[in-house]
Amino acid sequence: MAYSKKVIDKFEKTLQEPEKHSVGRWNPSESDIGTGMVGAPACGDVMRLQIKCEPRNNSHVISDVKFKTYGCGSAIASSSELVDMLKGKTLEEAKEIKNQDIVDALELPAIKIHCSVLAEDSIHQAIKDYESKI
Amino acid sequence: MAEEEIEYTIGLVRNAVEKLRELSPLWDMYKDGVDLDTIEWSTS
Repeated sequence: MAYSKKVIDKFEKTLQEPEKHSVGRWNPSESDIGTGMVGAPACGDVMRLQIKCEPRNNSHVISDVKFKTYGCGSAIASSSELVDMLKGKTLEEAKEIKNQDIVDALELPAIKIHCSVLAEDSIHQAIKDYESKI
Repeated sequence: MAEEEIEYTIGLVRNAVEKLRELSPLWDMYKDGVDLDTIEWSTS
C-alpha cells in the first residue's frame, strides 16, 4: 500500500500547523457546538469532530469546525479534509457529504477507506448532537 | 552509537510524540483525568 501524495501533504500540513488546520476543541456543553466522537482505541482510530453553528435563513450554518484525531496518517488527513468541506455549509448540505467525497479528494488507498467512513460518521454524530440542542 | 546521536534521536522522537499528542482526543481525555477503560466507544 502506498499513500497518495495528497494524503501525505494533508497529514504533514496538519501536523506542522495544527491551529491553521482547525485542530483543537471547544466546550461540548456550549449550545452552539455539536460534537461527534467516533471510533475506538482498540480499532486504531478515534475522531472527535466539533461544529460551531449559527442560525441563518431558516437553516443553520457551520461557521467553524475543530477536530482531533488519534490514528494513522490517512485518518488524520481524512478528518482534516472533512473540516475543509464543512466550513460555511448548512447542516442539510453537510449531511450530503459522503465518505466517497473524501476518498476522491485524497485518493485514499482501498485499505484505508474505513478512515473516510469514520469521518462521515463523525459529522453525522456532530450534527445529531447539535440538533438535539435546538 | 555516539552519545550525541542518541540525544539527537531522542529529540526527534520527543518532537514527533508531542505533535501527535496535540492531535489526539485521547490525550485530551487523559489530561482531563478520564479513565479511557470506562468509555463505551462507538464503532461503525
